[in-house]
Amino acid sequence: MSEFYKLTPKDKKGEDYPFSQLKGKVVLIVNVASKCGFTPQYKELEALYEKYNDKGLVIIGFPCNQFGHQEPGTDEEIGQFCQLNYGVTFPIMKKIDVNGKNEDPVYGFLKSQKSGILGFKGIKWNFEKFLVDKNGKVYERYASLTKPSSIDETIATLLKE
Amino acid sequence: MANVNDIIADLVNAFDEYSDDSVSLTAILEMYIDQINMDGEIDDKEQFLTALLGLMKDHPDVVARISWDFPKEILKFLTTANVDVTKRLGYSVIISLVMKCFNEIAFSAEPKECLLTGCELLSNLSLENENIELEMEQGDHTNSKGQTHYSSAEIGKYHAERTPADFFVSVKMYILFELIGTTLQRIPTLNPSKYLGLATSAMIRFIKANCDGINDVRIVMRRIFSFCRNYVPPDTSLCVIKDRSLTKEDLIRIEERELASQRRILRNLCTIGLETCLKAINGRTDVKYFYFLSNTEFTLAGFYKDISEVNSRFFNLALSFDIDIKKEFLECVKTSHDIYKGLPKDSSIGSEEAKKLIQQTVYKLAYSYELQRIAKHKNVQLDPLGIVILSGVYYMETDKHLYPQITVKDAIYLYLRCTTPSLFSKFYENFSVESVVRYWLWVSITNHSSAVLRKELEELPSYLLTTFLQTFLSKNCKQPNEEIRMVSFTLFTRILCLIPEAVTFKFILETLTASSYPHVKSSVLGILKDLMSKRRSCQDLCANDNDEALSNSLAKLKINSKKNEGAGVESQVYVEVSEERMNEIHHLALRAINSLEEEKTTRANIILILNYLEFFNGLHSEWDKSLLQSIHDEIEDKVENCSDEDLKKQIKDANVKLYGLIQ
Repeated sequence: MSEFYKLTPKDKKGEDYPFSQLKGKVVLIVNVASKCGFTPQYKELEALYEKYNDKGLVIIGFPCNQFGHQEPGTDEEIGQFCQLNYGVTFPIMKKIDVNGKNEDPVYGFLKSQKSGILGFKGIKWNFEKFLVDKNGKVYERYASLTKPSSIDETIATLLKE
Repeated sequence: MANVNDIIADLVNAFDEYSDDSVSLTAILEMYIDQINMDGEIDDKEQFLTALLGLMKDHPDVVARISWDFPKEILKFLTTANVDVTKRLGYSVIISLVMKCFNEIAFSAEPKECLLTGCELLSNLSLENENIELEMEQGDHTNSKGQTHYSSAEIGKYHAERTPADFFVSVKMYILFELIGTTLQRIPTLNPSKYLGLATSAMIRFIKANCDGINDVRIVMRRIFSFCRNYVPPDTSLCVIKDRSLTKEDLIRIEERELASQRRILRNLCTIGLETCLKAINGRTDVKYFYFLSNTEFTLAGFYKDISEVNSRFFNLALSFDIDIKKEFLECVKTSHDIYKGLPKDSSIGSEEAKKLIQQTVYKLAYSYELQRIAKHKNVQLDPLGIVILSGVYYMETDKHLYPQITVKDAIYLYLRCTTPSLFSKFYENFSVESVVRYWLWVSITNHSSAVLRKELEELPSYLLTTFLQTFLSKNCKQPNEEIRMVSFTLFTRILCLIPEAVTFKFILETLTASSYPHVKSSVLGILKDLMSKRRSCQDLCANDNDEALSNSLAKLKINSKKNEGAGVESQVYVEVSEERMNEIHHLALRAINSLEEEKTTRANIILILNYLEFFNGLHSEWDKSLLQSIHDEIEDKVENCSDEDLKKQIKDANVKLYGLIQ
């Protein structure tokens, strides 16, 4: 079994969210922030989610305040922001660190599987994305600049596999 | 000057006629730009630049051919005659047009040539040169019809401290960073690290030459941060297609090597950029920890808050670049230890003269090490001082210590390694680093028991401790910020409490004897009064390792007063009052009092006398009464020579008090 399914991050209420429930799903994991230039990507992420959720796509947002302190709110505030401003329906988890001594194990795993630009493992900024296939294998890593809509075809292909 | 419409018509013709003759076209362009800049009205200049921008858009092939010259020519429009430096950038049509022209250059010019010219311009960009150019320009304005926008009455709060040179250097720096960043991505090469290295070298040369003088260093820091974060290596696929001789294995090998080189270069820029940009900024790391120890709320003022925000970005950039800050910091600590580890023990040095000679060497060890490091290093490395700053940013960001186990020995080595090179070259002076190494001293003395600290300090050669104390004192006496000075003196006193008594007294005596600065003498006299009058706690004397009790006592940030003593507990002062020591201090006090007879004695010298009186008043019960009487008589005899009436009264009052205490 992929190590991915052994991970159990916390949801915004602080309750366990075992990744074992994601077996057989295509998963897009994004480190999000509410006050970032890339925040409007929520809209495209939600569109992808609505389009493919019933076909087996799960999008998971991990709020993170490490980049420009652009996610300063509480978990509750972040959840409200996403819902009110972008109508987000996909799960937004508890705020975490994605780099450094206190990085969440989810990101420890994802980064170890796919490096970013120049081979750096560290997350560079908000809204980097990891696409995980139905077997729990990290298929691709996308930079913040990559629009969620541009991953549409790849997601569709992975869902068909 | 010819009509601007005629010049533009000629320019249009030139773009058609000389499109294949770059030398002629460059000469014509230069001529028209100079003419417009010298004699044109602002409207003419805007019209000319608009036309030029249109031509550049229509003739990318021509832009590609004169990549060398375009940037320099267009930058000529950035002068006080054309831009109102008191207003925000968005108000200037000229700046907007110049930026648009640079955008065309960045996307159309021959990228290698363009990168080289961008790097050359950035390397030579300096406040000094800009000032000279602006002075020359102002001289020219007497004959110029050019409309000068600059009006000091309009200077708003935002730009109040910015000089025109500072403004233009910042704008040009911004434009050149963008130009370099964009062209780098357009160079088709299998060796992008070569060009990235060229670009970062130019950036480092620029920041090293200017960061001390630039009014708002945050602008530079943000550019470096953006460059590092946004850098994407060029697409190598075209080169691969061209060079079919390469095997797949060759390509993989080259690509891996290139990626590693680019990573090293960016990590280097991240750390060296942080260190260099913060050179002249007084850090607040030690102050924040001091506030924590004193249970006082710590807040940063506006400018420092912004600096802290940019530092946070660099800190997270370092994490993005997979820099293991703790591992690298421990390496710095180890290197600092290695620099001083070979010094002989006191017992193996034959004479005081030999000890003094070795002490002189101690001052220079870190400086020599730095010179050797620069000479020997072959690879692009992380900047050690940048790592030290990041270790402090870690605390600012997380409220946790990166390495709470640091020993006082290592903290002293680190302090000496980071501060003593600046005694030989201003190039190594860095106020932010100084704040962080002071913070590490605080961490070391608040995370170990007094017994451990004393033992560690006893193991250090006395001359090394003296070097440390002298460096610390001299740095702190020059510190203009009162809060930092106060916090540092508290730290200094605490360390003196832990150092072997004989070393502490000798150091204070030497300072009172030989320092050229009366205010330094006054400072150490105040410290000596505390050390001779206040008593160590029982815990301290019993070498108790009770960390909680220790933390509590350190959190009070005061060495124990008599009031805090336990009843019936034998305790001793930090520096004992002996007959010999009384005589030595007495002799120095008389020397200070005699300065009243000198015509040119300074106010600081008179304040020193007042401090001696306060010292004796505070210690009267421990002191030899006949010596105190002699001090009293000597002052009574000479005080009338004091030219400062206010100080004279204070000295007289203190002397009367001393007389009362002797009786």
